[in-house]
Amino acid sequence: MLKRYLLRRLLHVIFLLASVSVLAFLLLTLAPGDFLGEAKLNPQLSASTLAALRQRYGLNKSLPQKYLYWIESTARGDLGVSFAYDLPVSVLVWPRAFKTLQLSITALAFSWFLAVPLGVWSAAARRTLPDRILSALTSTLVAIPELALACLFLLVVVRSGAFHSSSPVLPVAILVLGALPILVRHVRAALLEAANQPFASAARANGIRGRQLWFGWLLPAAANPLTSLFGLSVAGLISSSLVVEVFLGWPGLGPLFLEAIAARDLYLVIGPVMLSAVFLSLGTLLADVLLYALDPRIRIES
Amino acid sequence: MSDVLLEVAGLRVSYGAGERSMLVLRELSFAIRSGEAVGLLGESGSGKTSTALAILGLLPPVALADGSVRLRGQELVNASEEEFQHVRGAQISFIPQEPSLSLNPVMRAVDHVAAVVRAHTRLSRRERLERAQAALKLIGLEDERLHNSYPHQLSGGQQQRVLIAQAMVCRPALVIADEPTGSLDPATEQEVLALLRGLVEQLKVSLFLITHDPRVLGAIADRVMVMYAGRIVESGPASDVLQSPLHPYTRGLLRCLLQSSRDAAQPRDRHVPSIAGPPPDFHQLPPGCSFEPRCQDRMKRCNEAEPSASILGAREVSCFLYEQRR
Amino acid sequence: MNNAGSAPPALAVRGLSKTYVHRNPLAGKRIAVHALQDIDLDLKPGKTLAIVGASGSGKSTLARCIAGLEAPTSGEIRIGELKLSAAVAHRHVQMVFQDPGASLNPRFSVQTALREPLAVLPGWRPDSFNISDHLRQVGLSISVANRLTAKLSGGQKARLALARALIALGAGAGPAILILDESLTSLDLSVRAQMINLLVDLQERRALSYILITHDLDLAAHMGDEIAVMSAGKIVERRALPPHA
Repeated sequence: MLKRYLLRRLLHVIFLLASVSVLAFLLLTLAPGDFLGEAKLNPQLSASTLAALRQRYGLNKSLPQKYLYWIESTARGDLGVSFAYDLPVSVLVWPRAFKTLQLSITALAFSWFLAVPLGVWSAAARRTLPDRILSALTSTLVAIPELALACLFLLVVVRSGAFHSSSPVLPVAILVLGALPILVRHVRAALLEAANQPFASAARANGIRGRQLWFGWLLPAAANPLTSLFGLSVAGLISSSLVVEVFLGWPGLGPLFLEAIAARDLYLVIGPVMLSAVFLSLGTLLADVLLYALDPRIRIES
Repeated sequence: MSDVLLEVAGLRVSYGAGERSMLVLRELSFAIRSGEAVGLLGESGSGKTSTALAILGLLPPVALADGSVRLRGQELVNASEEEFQHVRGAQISFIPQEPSLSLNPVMRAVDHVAAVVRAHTRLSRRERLERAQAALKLIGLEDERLHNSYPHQLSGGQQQRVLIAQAMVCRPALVIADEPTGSLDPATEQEVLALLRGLVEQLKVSLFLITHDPRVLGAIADRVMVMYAGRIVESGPASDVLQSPLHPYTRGLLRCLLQSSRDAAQPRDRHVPSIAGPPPDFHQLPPGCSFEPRCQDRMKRCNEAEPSASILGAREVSCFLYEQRR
Repeated sequence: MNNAGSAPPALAVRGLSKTYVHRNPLAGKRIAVHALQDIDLDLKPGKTLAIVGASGSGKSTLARCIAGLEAPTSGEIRIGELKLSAAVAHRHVQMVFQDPGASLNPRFSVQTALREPLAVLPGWRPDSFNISDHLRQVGLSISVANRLTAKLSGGQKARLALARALIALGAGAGPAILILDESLTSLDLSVRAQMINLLVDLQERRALSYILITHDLDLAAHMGDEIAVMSAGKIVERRALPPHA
């Protein structure tokens, strides 16, 4: 059963990736200018040199031709070529992708490992003083934009010299603090909803309470909405990490991406876009598998 | 006569505070003995569910309880959560209404029972599962495939049995069952009632059965108490109360039952005798007997004061019709 | 008595079948469930048909087909002389469900809940709506008109659900069929007795036809003029009951 399900989801993913690639291409080529736009203004380059460069980079080809070239190049493993670096995109992008994943996966793990116990605790302690304090804290964190948070952190680190700038601690901390409040709130809400169901009071009436009640009885019942949230949080983390990387100078996809966009380096832009899409799809696929594993109503036909 | 297991004396429960407070249970007093099946007959709003919640300490935070509920001498009214931990599921257990809603949709039948074992013992996981399986088999779910089934895969009767197994696994002295057969069809209802009666007789468990349907009590109760507007208005041996009811409310209620046999020769009137008037409103109870507005036998003094319990042999009635003169 | 013999019955069902094809998205297998198989039924105005059967016998599916909530796979349903369609169903067939409270929007007041079935009809004007008549018909006092439905007792909710169904059936010409799908099951005994009396009176006054779906045989025998027993999608037994006084 699971194999067929996965196969269908995989087909979905392939379709999704194809659509994203087409859309990305369209957006980039429809945007005014191209890689040689600025070069045109350079008086030292003659018109024939420009034309030769255009030819070389394949910029005078039509959109479908460029797309086909990219498909072919990807099949070869090159993922196209970067005009600025004169290297295959893959060579530039893989090491960066690894660095980005380092941050995203660590942040994902930390934020969920913290959010679940915090959410459960705040649901169990609802309306008491500690819960209200936590609520105030999460509201504040949600309201602060991530960039501001990054600035703050950077300031503290630079002043105190606590962390080395190449340490992942700082970017991960910022990502976690950005994602955590929302996750905690959702976990809390999902658990409170489960706690209001008749099966919760039935369990309490027979002596099930405390950690056994909240973690062993209510949390599994709340898993359904939380796995969807998991998929979304992967998306959120990847977007956030691109921004944080640029800000802190972490050598991930972010800075490369930004640079490539500014330079209109076509294939170098498409590369990170596609990679993000792949990570995202994997994240949601993982969430679906988790849901299948955790919710018997989906797993078993009635 | 076996000993008294649960003794309730002067139990009062009110919801809300100050002006908006509503007295829901008014001076309840009764006792349940070991191995006895006691039925509480009452309609919605009579306070029957609040009685069960009060015994288990599960009243909502807005409720205030007063009086005494003693389990083998241990006082339960306003006891701490710690003390209740040893009571709920272990000495007094609960079978809730609506089996399809009272089961956790992501847990298997055996998990439900094992969870109760875990709450009260320190057995290993394997031992817990074994005890759970044994309890499920005792209740009539022999097939182990059913043990590993999820609630949505079970029929209403099977779901009810899982709830019963949950309530029985730690061998409590008293089981409180709230409308255990409410949503079941007649055949399954009979099975479940027979099962409960079997538990009472063979395992000497006391049963406190709360229901609005007198037919259910006729099958399995030893004694019946009738509740109206937060008070017990009549009590006695089940057959006595159900076949020769004394209190006008009990009489009216039993008359509402449809006749199952009919004389084919006589044309039937499809009207059913009912109790006139609306159910009592706790915010505005009449000054005297709370049933007086709807009572066919009301007298002048019924409006003036609440009748106290008159004792007639093994039976008790709170009605001026039976007041003994001294 | 008018010439009732020649008039078409209020409800005529012929050869009604309903099959569900279940496709499990993960397994890809198709399972066919024959919920109804070749059902024939007649119901005259002012009469009650009681349908009994175990869970899964198809009683509720039959009710939903007659109420126009589901399209049958084959067969014909006629209301009086008309073939069943969405418009016909709305004016001539109404259903009251097992948990009457659940079919009421808790945020509505009683008055809003009563207006709702009328507001969907074209050409309706608010001033033509006399709420106290409708309330009185089902034994509700005018004092509940502005109360939220969530604050009503179980018996009051049952009466309100009945009032809504009656309003939708209207006072117009043509058959009026009320389907009671386990509607009396969850009520307290004294409330149920009052509802039975109310239904009996309404039936006499307005020549309503009832389809009573229940697993309570006593109730079926008490209220029904005819009992049909269903099992596995078929009617396996039919019995007419002695007439009423």
